[in-house]
Amino acid sequence: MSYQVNRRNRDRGESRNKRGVSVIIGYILLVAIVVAISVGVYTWMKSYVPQDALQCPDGVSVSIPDYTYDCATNQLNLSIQNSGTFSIAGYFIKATNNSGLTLATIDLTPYYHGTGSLANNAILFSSYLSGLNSKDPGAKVPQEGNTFSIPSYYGKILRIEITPARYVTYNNKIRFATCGNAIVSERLSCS
Amino acid sequence: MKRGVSPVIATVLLIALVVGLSVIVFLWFRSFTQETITKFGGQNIELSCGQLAISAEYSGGQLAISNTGNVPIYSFNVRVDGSGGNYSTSDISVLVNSWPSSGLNQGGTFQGTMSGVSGASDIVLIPVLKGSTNNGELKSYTCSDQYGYKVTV
Repeated sequence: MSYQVNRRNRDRGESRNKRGVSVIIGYILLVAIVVAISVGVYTWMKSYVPQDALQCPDGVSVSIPDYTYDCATNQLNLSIQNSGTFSIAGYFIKATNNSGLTLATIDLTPYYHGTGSLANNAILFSSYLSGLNSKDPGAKVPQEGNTFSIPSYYGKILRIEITPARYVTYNNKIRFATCGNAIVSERLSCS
Repeated sequence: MKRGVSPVIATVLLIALVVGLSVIVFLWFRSFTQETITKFGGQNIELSCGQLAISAEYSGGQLAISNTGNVPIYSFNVRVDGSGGNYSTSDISVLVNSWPSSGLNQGGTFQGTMSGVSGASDIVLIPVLKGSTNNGELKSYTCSDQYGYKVTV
């Protein structure tokens, strides 16, 4: 009798303990699994969080007030003015000698002689790599500051395209941005 | 002996089975997923495809391309669309002469003679970008067709 009571009590106690422990372990396991899955999904998906694209503000604009193009020597002098509302750092300049194509694809940067400097396939207004947008709105670079001695094998240049560029802060870094929405084009005629 | 294995051994066996099965399922599933390639400090390269800006045209056997955006383009897959819905896809370096090995950086342009497009109605330039994997290894990534640039030939 006494043995049966003891065993019943022991069994009750054991089963009660087992239930208690399993519930706590169940919760811990559940929380641990949820946390682990959350960490995994975050790690997997974090690269898909969109960031702002590297781009120029809308108010960037340049113009070509005047130019001189000597067809005999293939030398081009042009003045550039910042006609926008933001300061700019430099520009890309391309030319075309093909009347069938509207895109200008000849890079004139290697043939540049002027007061600026070259970087990232672009011409910077500053004479050194300052990382600054050195031409304020309204500022103008005269023709003497932008001379291009274009090799004769290109033949006559028909048109040039200028794309302004500026330094912008992107992901806490200063990056050089092309202002593709502010391209200006000029049809050339011999002086 | 009649009661079978002890609870400790049963638990260890259970955990070992679960871990073993998890590893097998993980290795099997991993082969179905692409390795993550990122650009610009952690952004998935798929998102960079949506930030591309290019202009292109074809005339008299000449193909001209200009990268007017801020995402460098490593290469293009060119889909040549023929009549009757037929098409073929090739790397641009196969179809044009002198494609620059570094691709088209910011403000970069290309012009070259293109072959293999006779009889085609148009071509689609599908950008190929370069990004880095988690190991820091550089890998190319072909954008999906929706980011292709259609040029009439």
